[in-house]
Amino acid sequence: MLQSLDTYWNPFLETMPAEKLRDLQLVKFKRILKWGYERSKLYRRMYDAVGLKPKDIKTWDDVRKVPLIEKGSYREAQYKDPWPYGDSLCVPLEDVTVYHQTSGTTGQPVCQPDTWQDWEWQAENWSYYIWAMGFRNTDRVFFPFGYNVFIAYWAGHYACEKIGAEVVSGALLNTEERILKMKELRVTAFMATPTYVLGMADTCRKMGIDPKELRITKILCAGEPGASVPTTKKRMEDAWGCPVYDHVGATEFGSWGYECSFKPGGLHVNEGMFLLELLDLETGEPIEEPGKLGKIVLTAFDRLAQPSIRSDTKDVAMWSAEPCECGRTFRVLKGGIQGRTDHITKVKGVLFSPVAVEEVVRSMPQLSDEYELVVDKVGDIDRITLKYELNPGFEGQEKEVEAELTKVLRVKTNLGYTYESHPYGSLPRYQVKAKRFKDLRKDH
Amino acid sequence: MVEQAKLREMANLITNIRNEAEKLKALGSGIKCVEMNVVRMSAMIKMLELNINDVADILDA
Repeated sequence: MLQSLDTYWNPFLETMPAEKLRDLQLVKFKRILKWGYERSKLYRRMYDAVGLKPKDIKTWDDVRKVPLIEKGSYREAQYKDPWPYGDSLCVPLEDVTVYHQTSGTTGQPVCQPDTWQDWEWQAENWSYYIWAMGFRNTDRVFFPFGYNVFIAYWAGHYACEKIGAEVVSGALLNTEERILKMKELRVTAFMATPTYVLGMADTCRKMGIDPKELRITKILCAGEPGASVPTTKKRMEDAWGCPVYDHVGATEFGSWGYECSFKPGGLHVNEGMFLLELLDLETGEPIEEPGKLGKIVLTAFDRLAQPSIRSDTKDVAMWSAEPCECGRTFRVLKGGIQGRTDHITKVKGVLFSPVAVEEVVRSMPQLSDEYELVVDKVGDIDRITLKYELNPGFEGQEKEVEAELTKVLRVKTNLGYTYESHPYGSLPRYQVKAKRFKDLRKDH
Repeated sequence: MVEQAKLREMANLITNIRNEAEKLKALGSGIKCVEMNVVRMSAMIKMLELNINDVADILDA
């Protein structure tokens, strides 16, 4: 159902009939494919290797013939002239105006160049999302992040400026100072990872401040899937007394998914600016039907300096059967990101996603926000250990808590666990992306 | 909702602005304050093209 004009950043694109939207996507896919082939040595090598020319791509079936690109391909093409982007760069080096890089947790960081137009495009995409979440020019938005080489909320900052909101950087302040500054300036919104949103609430309480006293009206989360995990979202919303919205993106692809204020139980895909394909985890066949998990393959239609054309994101999701009440025809990924192909793994022969455990842990008031999952082997047998902390006031209840965890996790994940109780505050706290899942079996 | 005729009218105006920006770029060649501000202006025009012209072209097709 269509809502009022003010609901949408771009009413034409966001409510476009689905079949017309598909037509637009095919036109834009061909355009970026041609650009990548003509401008990037990396893409040209990949496509020449399989005998593919842009003019061969005419239909959606043809799109499936275009090879997938992985993060490793960028790495191999980079760290040579034009430094450091090498063969992945599609524009003259002097047209690049912004540098970011990936965190490098899975290898050498991938460098991401953007032209000024690319950077406008980043801010434009974020404008769609924050507008859909209810950010307006009356908002004063706080950015409690490091403003460093990682892309994080940089584009969120520029999008806020674009929609006319007021931005406040909390870059070099520590958490306590950030909270005091937010309170002093009466900021109305902020953006952070779910881990940090919960951590800030914890710090507030330690300072004798109820987070609700800050009168925040909305929070945008990114960087981790937590804001789409219902129990984690509830913890954040209960703590701050305001809606929390999820958002997803990555350095190499741009930001492509968001939750609108109608909260459809998942993430809209910005299908006007991106092509998101779900591919079957085993066969690689495209998935169009709702409710079936697949890996996300992304194409950013309009990012030119270093395009993302059929990138294997390693993220896993499923289409929702229900359209959103907001009237947008952009499809919804039910429950947001369900995990990563390199995290969704078989334990004792059972397909296991760490996100399912987070949902259980965060549903139990006896447990703190922090936990850790470690998979290893005892002899030839897989073992999965859940490290947890009891909240203050629940000390000595390990036996009851573990019995409850066993019961719920058995139903939810079909697996048995061993447990380690840790004193409150002793498990690692994270400010950016949390690393709570460790699979040590590869080391055996 | 906004009618489709307005979409086409806006798309035509954006095309005119693009053409004028290109003329300004050519005229201001070598004058840095013109060249670099046109780069920024062109990026914003591109966003209007992605938002409006691309959509109008598909809906008109």
